[in-house]
Amino acid sequence: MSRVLVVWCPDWPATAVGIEASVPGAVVDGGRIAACTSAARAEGVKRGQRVRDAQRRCPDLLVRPRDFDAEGRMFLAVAAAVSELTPRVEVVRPGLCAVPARGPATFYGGEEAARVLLQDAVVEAGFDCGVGVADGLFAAELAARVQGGVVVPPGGAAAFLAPYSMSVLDRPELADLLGRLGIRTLGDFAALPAGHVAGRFGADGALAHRLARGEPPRPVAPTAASADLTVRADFDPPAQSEEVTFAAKRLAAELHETLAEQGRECVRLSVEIGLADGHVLQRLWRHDGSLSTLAVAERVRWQLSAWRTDAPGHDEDAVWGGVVWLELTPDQLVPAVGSQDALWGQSGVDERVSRATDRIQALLGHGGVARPLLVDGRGPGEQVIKVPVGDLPPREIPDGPWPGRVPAPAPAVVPAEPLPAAVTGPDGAEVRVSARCAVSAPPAWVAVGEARSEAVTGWTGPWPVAERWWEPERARRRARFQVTTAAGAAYLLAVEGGRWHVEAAYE
Amino acid sequence: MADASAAPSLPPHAALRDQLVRAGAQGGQGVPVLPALRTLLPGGLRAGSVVGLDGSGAASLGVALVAGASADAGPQAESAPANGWSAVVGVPEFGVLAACGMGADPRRLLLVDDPAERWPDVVAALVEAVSLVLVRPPERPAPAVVRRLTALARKHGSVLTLTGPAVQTWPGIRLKLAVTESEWEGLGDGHGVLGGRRAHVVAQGHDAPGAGRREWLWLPNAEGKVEPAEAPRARTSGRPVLEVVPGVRSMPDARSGPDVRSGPDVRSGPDARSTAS
Repeated sequence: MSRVLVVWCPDWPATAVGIEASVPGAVVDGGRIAACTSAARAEGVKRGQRVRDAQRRCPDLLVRPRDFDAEGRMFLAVAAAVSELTPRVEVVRPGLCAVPARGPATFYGGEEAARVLLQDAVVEAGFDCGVGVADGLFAAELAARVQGGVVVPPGGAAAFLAPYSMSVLDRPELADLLGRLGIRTLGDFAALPAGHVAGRFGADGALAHRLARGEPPRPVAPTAASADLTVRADFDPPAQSEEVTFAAKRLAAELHETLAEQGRECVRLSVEIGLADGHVLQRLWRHDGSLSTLAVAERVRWQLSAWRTDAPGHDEDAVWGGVVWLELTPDQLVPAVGSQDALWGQSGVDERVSRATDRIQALLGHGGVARPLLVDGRGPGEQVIKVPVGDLPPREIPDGPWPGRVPAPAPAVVPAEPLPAAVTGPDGAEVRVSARCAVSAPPAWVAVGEARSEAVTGWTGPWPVAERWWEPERARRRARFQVTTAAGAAYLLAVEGGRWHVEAAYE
Repeated sequence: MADASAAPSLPPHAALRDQLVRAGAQGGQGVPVLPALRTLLPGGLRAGSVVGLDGSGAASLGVALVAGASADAGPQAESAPANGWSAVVGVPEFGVLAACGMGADPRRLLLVDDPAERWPDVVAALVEAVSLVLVRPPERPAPAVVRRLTALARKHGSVLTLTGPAVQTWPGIRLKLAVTESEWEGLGDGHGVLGGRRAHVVAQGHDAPGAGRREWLWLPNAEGKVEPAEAPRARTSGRPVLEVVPGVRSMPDARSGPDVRSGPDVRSGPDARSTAS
């Protein structure tokens, strides 16, 4: 059982808004008294009272609205005073902070000496306080609340807590019910069998029971919850988009590793970006287990750029001022069904190559560098899919037979978009292909784009292709030709809807 | 096109440095080329050199060099620079399928289609990592960029292969490859299938001393491979020049469109008729 030292500042909400303890004053939140000074308490003001009632009892009551920000801000001064003497200060809430007692007790020569020293330090900093030491945070807080604070000896927590009334557990319903059952003190409550308490009052009741017995509900030192898979990066000073994208990549790798260890896959990813001006950009991304680290980084980049273009005036720095933190949370987890990506994933890329691709992706964006994937298809352009490095290949790869496939050899030049062309017959009129694939005249001249016409030395076709005729929106009907020209070039031409294109060149 | 200016003069220290690099490269373990190109380029492409591709057959030559570099690199695959990877920068129309037909391994190929003005940085990143970079620089690259990339390629032993207009102005090109003559086979007048191309390939420059080496190659042959070809017997009269004969309609030839044969007769097929009506 760890020894905990607690520094407690009485009536902190009142202190934070600048009410002296000697003046009857109260802090109001939502029309009711949230805290009051001891002078006001002496006049009969209580927490939870309505302001009207409090003012009736104490006519010269100083009333201030509650200010949570000021509470947090000012308490940092207390925490700083404590951390002058001992590290690992955990602020439980404004007005209460805890430190593991063992270290300072050894260093300052006993728990009582450490307690007095810390109390003096905080009082010197200008704040009234009580300091208590006990087993566990709950007992230590109560020990700090005893006039001036006490040290509860090790193993004495249960005995120390026993006389306290049930109300200190801060569970009014439980206290009310137990009170009607005749259980009015923590000692009575602690004497009940733990199993029965858990059975009757559930998890929260069991937790309260543990507290009453002087057992720890949670450790004092902050440790990461094991079930929480959130990964986070903080930036100080605020980072710009490039740096954030890199951090996102690292975080995503971390996340994927954790998920893989647990045999789980993330279906949806929540990305939260905290900006210096206090904005938080939150968005959910569909993941499906197929987003690589780079693809995650890319989504973070999108999210950032979307914010920038949305922002009024497009004045980047003035509006968003940089990113201070980034958090990736797997939103929905499913058991991994085992998609095999080692054959194509990063593992197939050697170390130097992956470094180079990282640099290129930093320069040009995630889609900047691709790896080709050969698939089945008819045209030369349809048989190659370019997959950005780091992405997994698309899952739905078309499957054939492919009647009308263009035969080998494959062309050396395959433009991403077919180039317009003009094909004319010997009489200079454009060559037309009828629906029955009859050619109006043999092609005699080919002009690609703006270039001059070249004389055709050989041609073949038409090779008709009717694709997806069962799906009217995506249906295409084309007829392909191969031609060679006097200049030594060879083209794969296609005519579709009366227009000629160069699909590829056999340069 | 490939004249005396193909071997531009370099400062004397560059030549010395080249010799040192050559001596230090363990007998010049170059970047491999396709077997058919070995008579033209014995020993492959010199590691760390700059190669220029010129003329109308540049695309096919580029595809063939990429195929050679990324074809199965054998047991020495792990050793730099011949790790069997290649990259294509700024050539979005690069025929990946053709490269694979010639023997390239698509899993060891990187494509940077649109580097725009960042191309020097992209190439600089790639020469450290891959055996061969095929790049089409803009017409007049800045001299500083040229020096930097040439030095990086030499340092890392990667072959920088240039295509496009910059080939004419880039200093220090060790080897120029060009197709001087070519003819395609297989197409008739309205029938046939494009087969191979017989191409006369010329290699010139420092790495091909003298008047350069010349070779007739199938670039590609009917299966899409590169193979040595015999010279056409009498090129002036060897093959009748095809003439356009007016009035001839497309003839239903068994050879026209090999895959059309396998299906039903498309010209009177159901969808053709429906569109006609």
